Amino acid sequence: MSTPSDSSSTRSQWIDLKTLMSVRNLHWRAQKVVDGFQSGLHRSPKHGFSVEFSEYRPYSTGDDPKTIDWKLYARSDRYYQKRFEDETNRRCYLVIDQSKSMQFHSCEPTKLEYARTLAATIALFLLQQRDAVGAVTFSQSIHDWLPSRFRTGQFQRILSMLEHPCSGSNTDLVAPLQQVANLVRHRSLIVILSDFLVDPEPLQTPLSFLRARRHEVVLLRVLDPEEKNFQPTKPVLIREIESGQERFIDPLTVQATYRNRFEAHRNALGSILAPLGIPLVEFLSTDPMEQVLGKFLSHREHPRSGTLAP
Amino acid sequence: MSLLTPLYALAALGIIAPLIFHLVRKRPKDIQEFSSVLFLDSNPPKFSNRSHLENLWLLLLRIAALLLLAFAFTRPFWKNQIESGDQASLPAERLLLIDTSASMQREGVWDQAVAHAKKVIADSKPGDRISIYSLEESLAAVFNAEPSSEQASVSSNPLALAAIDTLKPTWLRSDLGKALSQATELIEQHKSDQTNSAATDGSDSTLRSEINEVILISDFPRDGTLENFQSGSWPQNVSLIPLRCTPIQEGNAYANILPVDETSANSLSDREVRVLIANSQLSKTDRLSIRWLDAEGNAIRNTSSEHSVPPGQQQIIRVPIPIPPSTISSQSTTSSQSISNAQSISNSWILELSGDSQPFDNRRVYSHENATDIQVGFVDRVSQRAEDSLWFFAKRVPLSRVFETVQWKLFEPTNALNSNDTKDIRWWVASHALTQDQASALTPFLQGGGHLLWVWDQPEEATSSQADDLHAVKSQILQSWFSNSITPSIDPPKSERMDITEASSKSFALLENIQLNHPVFSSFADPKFNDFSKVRFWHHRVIANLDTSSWNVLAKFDDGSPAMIERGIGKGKLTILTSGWQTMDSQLALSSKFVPILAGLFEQAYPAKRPPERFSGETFIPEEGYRRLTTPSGRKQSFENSNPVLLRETGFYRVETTIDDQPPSNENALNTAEVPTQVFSVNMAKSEHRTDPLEIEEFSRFGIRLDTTTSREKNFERVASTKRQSEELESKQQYWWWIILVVLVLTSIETLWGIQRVFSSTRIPATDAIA
Repeated sequence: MSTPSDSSSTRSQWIDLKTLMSVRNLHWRAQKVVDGFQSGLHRSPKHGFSVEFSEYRPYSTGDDPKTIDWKLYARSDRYYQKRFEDETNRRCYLVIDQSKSMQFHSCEPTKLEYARTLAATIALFLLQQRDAVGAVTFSQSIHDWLPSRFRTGQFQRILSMLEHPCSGSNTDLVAPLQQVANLVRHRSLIVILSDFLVDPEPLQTPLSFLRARRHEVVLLRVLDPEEKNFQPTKPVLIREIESGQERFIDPLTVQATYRNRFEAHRNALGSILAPLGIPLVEFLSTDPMEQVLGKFLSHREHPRSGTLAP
Repeated sequence: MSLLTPLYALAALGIIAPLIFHLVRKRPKDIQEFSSVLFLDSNPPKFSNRSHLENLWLLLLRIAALLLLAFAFTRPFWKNQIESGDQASLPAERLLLIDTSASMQREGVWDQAVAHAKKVIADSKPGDRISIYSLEESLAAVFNAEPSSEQASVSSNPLALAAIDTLKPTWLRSDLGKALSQATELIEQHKSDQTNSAATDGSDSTLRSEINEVILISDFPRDGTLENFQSGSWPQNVSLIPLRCTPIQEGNAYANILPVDETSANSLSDREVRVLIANSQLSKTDRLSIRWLDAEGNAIRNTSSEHSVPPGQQQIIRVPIPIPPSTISSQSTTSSQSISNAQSISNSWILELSGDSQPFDNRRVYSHENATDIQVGFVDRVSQRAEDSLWFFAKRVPLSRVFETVQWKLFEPTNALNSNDTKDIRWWVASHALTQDQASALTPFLQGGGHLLWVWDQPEEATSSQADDLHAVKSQILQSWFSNSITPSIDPPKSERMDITEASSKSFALLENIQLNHPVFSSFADPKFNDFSKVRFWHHRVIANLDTSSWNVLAKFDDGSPAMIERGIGKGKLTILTSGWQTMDSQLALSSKFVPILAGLFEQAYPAKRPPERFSGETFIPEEGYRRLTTPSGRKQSFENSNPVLLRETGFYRVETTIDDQPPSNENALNTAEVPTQVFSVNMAKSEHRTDPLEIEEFSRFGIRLDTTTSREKNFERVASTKRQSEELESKQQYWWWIILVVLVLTSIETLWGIQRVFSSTRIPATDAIA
């Protein structure tokens, strides 16, 4: 598990989240975050067609004959393959939860606003790296679907999709993830932005399915500060924003119970994700954006780092 | 303590409201939305006893105010002794009339009637008295409470119920109007009986009960002849309670064989009848079929026919009568009497209707009567000029009737009247040409009940020897006929002998002193028709020394001499017309009076037979000679002293006789050894077919006080009278004012307390209110 880096905290000094989120333009917001966090391109570990030479490799039966370096064959009378560094063409899907629970906020911004901005930021960041980016929004089922492309205007399309008014109701992660697994055929990076305030047990199947299709999956968990530290001061009737269920709570007893249950839920989620090799990046809606981006990218550099709590 | 309006006590349930309000106040007003209740349990805070107790007192105060308010609205009062002995405690006198007419045989109707009757009896209180009558054409007592036993009702209820069980619907017709008139008489009679008994006992007549309810259980058919009550006046203080019995299925259709009359007889063939098929307005079907059955009820093939009669309409169709099987076989039968008997039975048919909802009236029995020939004998000498003879005019008079064709048979004076020629002749007309021999031959006919019209159509010329002969013949004939009765042994003295001379009128004579009430002239009874001034008699005979004590003078000429006289001979009758009707003697044959007079004489001699169809409820007067009646159900009934017999059943009745007895009016039948069995059909009265219901309000039109309230409603009325007394008591006491005052005080305290609490709660922090 990594700790918040010092560099990101220093950069965040001149990027105020409140001011940033008050800007209505999502494009500008993403641009601002990416500009503030430009940590360089990553290189693809794979080989492909490019101008950058990588290595020679002896030809073996079954290799493509067009990769044979005939000049070298003329010199050495041996078949060698000439290999080049492949340029990045990773496919990435940003899967954003738009359920009602994402609209909850004890302070500005809402979890959904935060998730949208983060998604836009990641999209811009990846597009600048010439990666193909697509987006999916869902609540109980998939609302919008934008296939991953790297082409002109793709970022605009992603933004316009994210700016669609929220029409979600209840959170159901299982069915949308099943649908995503069915729809995404190529191996991709799938980034799921949600609060994951659901029973973790049923998530195991769709996530296993995604992993089985060789997708790389990252869960970005957005939480409201109130959700993490629930501290009521008076007896109050709590009504769930999604289902309308009501719970009458006693502040004296509810805090400890809530904390224990929240931790248990997080652990249960972690215990499901760990065997699948899926990282969980958890952060609050008040956290600086580039800090979260930093966490996300540091995880990308070290994919087996596990759950990243803020 | 009693309550005037106890239902207001339900308002005490209003205490639920403050209870709910007190509970509702416990709930917090703050509702906080949260993303998920996944980590939350419902954990309401516990309240301390202190706050609970405080609210409880306020709650108790509010409940007390509400309870007192509800109590005040119930208008409590202390019940003193209320005077009893009001009208309601008097026992009721009831007249229960149960319709037992034929229409009550419809499916489900009689069961309802019995149920209604039993309920009326069951609802009667101790002391009530019920008299039960069955209602057909008139009332018949079924059960009568003994007037002496004042407490008879309770103990006699089982008897009354048993009496109802014995009742059954009959085949008679109902006459509601007549029955109600009789009920009125019964009520009046009961009233006078009560007054008389009060006078003899010396008790207070006002305490005596009078019939105050007439309960009529019927299906109230529209044709129930309620109009017959028009003359009656319904007693005051007596109410009629109509209890209607409705059949399971409404609507009815019926087929009725129309009687053959003079006009229809011409258009109908001998073996054809006209059948009226009528369908009730409430009927649901319009496809009806009819067919013939024989007297035993076996269907006759190829006689069924289907007809479409829409509801509320009727149709008249011609239906051929089946050919009796005995017609063929009778040709080989030798005994004429057995033919007659067989024919009378084989000519009995049943017309059956099918397709309607009520089968009770679907069969109509019918006895077909074949047309018979009636012979009329005429003794006359036909002259050269036919117009000068009586025969010429008489044979043209249409005397034939529906089932009887009259055939004139002429006998010349020279013809001897032997029994073979004359045995079928029913009426004789003779002119002056009647000879002594012929007259003596006619004597047994007259003695046996025959009628003879003797017309003296030839002038009595005193100088003529022929006239003398004629005169002598007439005298001899008369003497031979009346010798037994007038002068049994010797010739009467000349002064007493009837002296017949020719009238000496110069111009003409007219008829006067006509007995218009006599059957011969009864058709002229109306002043419009009794102008005989145009019937001129040029010649007529005068009878001197007429014994008016034995001769009945039906008409006289204006000179005072008798024109038409009659006298009985044995069972028969002789009528003498002292002038002829031919043009030489008078204008009678040319006038419009001739045919009615001759027809009247014929009717007298041979009365028209009654149509073969009769209706149940009618009486049957047995003709002389018949001894026994067999009803359709097989019950045999002997006639005693020719008393009328009420025909209660429908079907074929058979009238039988014995060998010694003789039928009337047929002298020739004397010779026969056996008299035929007479079969006649009796059907249900037509009014019983028309079952469409009568509006109950029709009774009011005849001034009958209707009471459609049930006994339960009457109980309500009694309760209402008690309530009125209670109201008076309560209005004197008026405790509710005081209770309202207490309520106001309590409400004021509650208001002040509430205000005080509101103020105090504003000072207490919110967190203090809880915990």
